[in-house]
Amino acid sequence: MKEMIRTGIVLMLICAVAAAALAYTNHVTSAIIAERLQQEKEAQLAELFPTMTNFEERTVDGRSATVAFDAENKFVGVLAEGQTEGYGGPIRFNLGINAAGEIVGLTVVAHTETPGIGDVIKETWFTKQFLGKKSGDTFTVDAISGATDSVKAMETGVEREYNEIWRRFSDGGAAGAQDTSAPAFSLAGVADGTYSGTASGFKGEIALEVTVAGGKITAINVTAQQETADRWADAKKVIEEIIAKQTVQVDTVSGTTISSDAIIKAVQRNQRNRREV
Amino acid sequence: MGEIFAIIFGAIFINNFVLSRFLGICPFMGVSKKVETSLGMGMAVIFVMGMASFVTWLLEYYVLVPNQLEYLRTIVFILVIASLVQFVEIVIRKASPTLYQSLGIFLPLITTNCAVLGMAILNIQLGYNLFEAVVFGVAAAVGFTLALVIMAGIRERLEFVFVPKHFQGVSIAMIIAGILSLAFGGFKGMM
Amino acid sequence: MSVMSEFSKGIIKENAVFRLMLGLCPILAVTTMAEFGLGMGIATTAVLICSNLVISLMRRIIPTKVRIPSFIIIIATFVTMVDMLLNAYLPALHAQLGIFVPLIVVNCIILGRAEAFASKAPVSHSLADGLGIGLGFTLSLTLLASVRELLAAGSIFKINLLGAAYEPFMVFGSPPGAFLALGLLMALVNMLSKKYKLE
Repeated sequence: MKEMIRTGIVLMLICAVAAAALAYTNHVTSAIIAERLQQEKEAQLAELFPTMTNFEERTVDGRSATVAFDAENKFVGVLAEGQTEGYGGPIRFNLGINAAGEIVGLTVVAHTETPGIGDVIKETWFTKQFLGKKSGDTFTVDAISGATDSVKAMETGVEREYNEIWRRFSDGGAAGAQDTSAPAFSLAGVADGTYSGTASGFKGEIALEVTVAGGKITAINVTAQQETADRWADAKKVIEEIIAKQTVQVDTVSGTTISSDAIIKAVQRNQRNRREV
Repeated sequence: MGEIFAIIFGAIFINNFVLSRFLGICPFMGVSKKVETSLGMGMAVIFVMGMASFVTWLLEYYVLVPNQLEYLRTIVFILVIASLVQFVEIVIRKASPTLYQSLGIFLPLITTNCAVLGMAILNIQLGYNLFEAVVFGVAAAVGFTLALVIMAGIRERLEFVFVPKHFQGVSIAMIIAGILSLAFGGFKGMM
Repeated sequence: MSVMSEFSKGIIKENAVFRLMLGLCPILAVTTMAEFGLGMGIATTAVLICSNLVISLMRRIIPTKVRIPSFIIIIATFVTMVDMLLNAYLPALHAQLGIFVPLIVVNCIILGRAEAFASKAPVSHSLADGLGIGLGFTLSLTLLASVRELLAAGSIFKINLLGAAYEPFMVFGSPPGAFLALGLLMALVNMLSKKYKLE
């Protein structure tokens, strides 16, 4: 009996230490990974759509895409993932389309085509042939001997996915719009009181209570959040700025884009909810 | 239905776990000297992988994802597979001593068979639903068994032929596996 | 045995791949390019050293009955940490190694060293053993990967060695080539070790 208790305690200790070590490593690395992915996406979008100043994830008809807008909040392009069945298995690619409906970017992100033969489809000189194509064009490119199936798969795949994406996002994916279309921020006519709203942050829901007095935000109180501690400290600066400027058009804090965005969205939603009441 | 068939055919022939994905090479080299033992090993793997695909899928989507604990996936899956193997061993020993005699010795070896953990992780990465995940698990194990039995058949014949001294043992087995892998490459054209 | 000989035995005499025939899955799967082989070798060595160290330190505390599950938890913890660190700091390598990073956990070398060596030996010996076996494994991976990259692309570590006129031997970049190259290398190692009496 004593032996069993000892065994149990030792095992439990090992598990606890292991879980703590992993939770800590995850805490440190997940923020870096998320930030890196975000930066990669921003860099890719900025290259495809030079006039882009902000972007948003939108979902229309079960397909999500990143929609880019310029400084005047006009739709400049959309970046979405597509898939086609190649010779050796699925080929996944990113397709960028500008506001005129032309393909401006095509990169193969994953494929299992034969090395040295079918894998030419990932080369820039190959994908370049699709650039500039738009609705109504023929999506044929130069045939490559030995890689007929891979090339065909890309031709039909890019055409099909282009049509699918463009059908949904030619208007900037307005049907999937969340918040950027929110009308100018104004609290005129809002009764004094405390209102609450939520938005998803980097690690979970962020819940806020906004106190309004005399048509002005006097306080924003965070009631729940699970963000990374040191990054959250930076993100909170956004709150002070919203109160100071009485607007949600504030800059996000670098390194905390997701958390600060979430705060801004929560305040926006909060305001919309109020209007409906 | 077509998709399910594609999963089965793909896991057995096109992306054979052993010959194309390189999962489960250790038992493939270690237990492929006799057809009979390799069949026994194959049956045990089919059994464990079918159950493991079911359990790990449920764990991923009902325990890990809701609690945002995806980063514990590796540790949870390997522990579950290890305990599952133990559990299967106990059940078989109690329920069917004859089955235990033929499968029993292979069961402990399965814990460190990377095909099982690999299949569980692939199921998540490929985004399969529960049914597809179990189908994929069983089909992958069938593919593993197929490769193992073919290999054992060849190695049995190999006993009677002349093999250059330095090639004896694992070396010639690797080269045979390479030729098998080339042959399985032909299935790619069928999809 | 001295610490030094614990270290050196793992490199050639008890080389994990060519002598003990362990860790064959990763060596076949990730050796298409020399740099991937090296990266996988270093990742595995890191896990091996850490797990050997911890298991050796705890060898008197861990109850014999549950030692295997305990080893698995310890190893899986280090593997997951390596996985997350690679994803954060070396994303390109992480993407290339893919599923074989979490699969380090079932690499028989690591559990084998834990059970056969680290759970019985003092800390200094276990560290030396982990370092030696890890180095031997890394060398084997890099060797096979260099051979395959040279044959399939005419380069090693992406440095072109055979000139533009070289007609690539494509099969060595694909799965069948992995088996063939390792089989031939094994025969070569057998021949050399007989010749120089390393047995």
